[in-house]
Amino acid sequence: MHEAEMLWLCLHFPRLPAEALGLNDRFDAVTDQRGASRWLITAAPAARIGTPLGTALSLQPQLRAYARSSKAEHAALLQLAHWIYRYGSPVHAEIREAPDVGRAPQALLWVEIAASLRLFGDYAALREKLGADLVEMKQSASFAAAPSRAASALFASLGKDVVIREQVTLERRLAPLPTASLSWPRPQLEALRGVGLRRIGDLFALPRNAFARRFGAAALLELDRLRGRAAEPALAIAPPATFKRRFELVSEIDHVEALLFPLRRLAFELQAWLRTRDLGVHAVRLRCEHPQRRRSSFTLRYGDAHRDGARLFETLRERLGRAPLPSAVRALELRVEETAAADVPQADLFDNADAAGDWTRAIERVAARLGEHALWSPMIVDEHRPSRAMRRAAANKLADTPASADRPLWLLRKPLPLPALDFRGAQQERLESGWWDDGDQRRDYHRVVWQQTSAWVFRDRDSERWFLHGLWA
Amino acid sequence: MSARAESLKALLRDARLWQGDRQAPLRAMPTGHARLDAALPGGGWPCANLSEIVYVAPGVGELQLAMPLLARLTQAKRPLALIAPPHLPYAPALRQHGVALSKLTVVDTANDHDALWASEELLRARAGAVLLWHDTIDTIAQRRLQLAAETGDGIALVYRRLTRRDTASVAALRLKVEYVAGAPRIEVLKCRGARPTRAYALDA
Repeated sequence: MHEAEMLWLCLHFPRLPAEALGLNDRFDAVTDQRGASRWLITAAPAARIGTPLGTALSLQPQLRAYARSSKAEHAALLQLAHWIYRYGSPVHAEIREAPDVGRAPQALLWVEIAASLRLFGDYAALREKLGADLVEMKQSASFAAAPSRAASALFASLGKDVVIREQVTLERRLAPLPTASLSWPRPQLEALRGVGLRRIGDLFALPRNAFARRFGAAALLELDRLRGRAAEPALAIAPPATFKRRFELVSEIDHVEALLFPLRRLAFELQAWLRTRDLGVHAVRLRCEHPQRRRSSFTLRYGDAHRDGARLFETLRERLGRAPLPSAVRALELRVEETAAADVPQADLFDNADAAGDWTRAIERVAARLGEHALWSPMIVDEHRPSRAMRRAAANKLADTPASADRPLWLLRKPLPLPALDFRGAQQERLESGWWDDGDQRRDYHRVVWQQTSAWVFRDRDSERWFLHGLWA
Repeated sequence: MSARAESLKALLRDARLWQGDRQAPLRAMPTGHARLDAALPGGGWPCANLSEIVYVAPGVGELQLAMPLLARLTQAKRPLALIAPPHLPYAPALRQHGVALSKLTVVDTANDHDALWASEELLRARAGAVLLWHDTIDTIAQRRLQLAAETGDGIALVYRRLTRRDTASVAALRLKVEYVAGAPRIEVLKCRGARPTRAYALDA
């Protein structure tokens, strides 16, 4: 049976209902509701999961309760599914709704790692990498690996960080778990307890047909799936083709600090997407949605194609901090504008001055705050006309070409008319060209002393007027 | 006076010589102008420090003064920034002075505040040097640049237009540039670790 050869890594996200809403304060709690009952599905200090809201508020007066958003949870889980692709495939995701009042939904993600395990070395190495990733994304999760999706989910949701590779072992490891840990409806669990079936092993020990008669064929099928004896059909999630991720905020936010948490999340989701697709990003666009359907947005460009979540976050934060928000923000949307094959970081044999990337990042921070056009690098273009012999290249991104005649270090942004002066007689250089485009120029350039400076002046041969164009500074 | 005594005197006059009763020698990078280097303690621009160039007007040779430094640093692959320059640094001329353009970033700013912020930011990110044009820089800002230069082990170079009232400065080195008799002339106004000396015509 081919399912048995599989190794499913399951991640359980106990705080996903809160994370999906951008909540990260310990006094924030999310509630689910059925009829008149409303109960906590994420824990807060002194208020456990399952506590009715009224009780929770009396236990913890500082509690702030938010209704869950199933839509936001699914969107967040989908993003996590895209991220987990870097650990293997296929990928499955599911939010198991609570079977009864007072229980929490389970956000679960599975990735099959049997094949990719040797890329990481072993499970310990993969586990370490996974742990580091989760810390970096500030994503709370518990995880476990087992030959069946159902078993890995059970261990993960119980917070048991185990890896079970073989089906024989699986049954033995499942046996001591309490039947109460199964995510079955409460009446069914109570029926099990009523006949003294307290451990999962007790269920395995029952004759199959007796079990099916007593608890239903569906329950037996679930039991078989748990121990890897039945197929677990489900639709795998495909990796997305483009990255566009919206983050709806719980309340309107009017200061940048409060946006940092969702911003960080978006940045690391983008990093995950880029890694999955083995791409680097050149440009991203962040859009803020304000009340009355107003929007503001900006684009950030990077000198190299990278996929560094921390760098994305830093530059987005810097750019957002540049000016006060035009008005309160309701939602953020990050999308990729331009990607390229990632610049593989090379061993910096020749260019070790910026091995840590400090300079590149500082440049990006400056560009984010002052605007992209504030930064440029002088570069030479093979062109006779002086103001065109230099192109404003975007900082960090250019190539050199050779130079020619003696030129001044300063060039005026716009030639300055020099009234009633005549410098003729000094050494001169005639520069003309450009009739084929709009820059038709016929000029005689001279190097002269003008007002105690060494100046580059020209006479426009059509108008006969003199202009200051440069300074030998 | 004997030839030997004469040469000893010349040696003692040379600011590069560290004498026991003075403070520790400064780490410095040659300015590339031999006579100026000889007059400066450490023999050039003090490393990880703030220096100031006071100039009469753009075009007196103030940029030439820094060109050998820019060439040396960019060729050594250290990144450089020119912040809030009064005119466009002209690529063909920079190239003629041996500057590797790919290592040079120009930052145009809307105000002095942004210019100072960007300077600090880039100095801390290990810029080889940051050249900042700021005529009214105060001592607080100078100290911050000094600190950033120390942090990133780079050279902070502030260009300041000469005003009638010479303002306070905490720079380790202050040079004045003016255009005299068809050539730039450099005067050492202040240098930490040695007594300021006379003026020099800038070597071509």
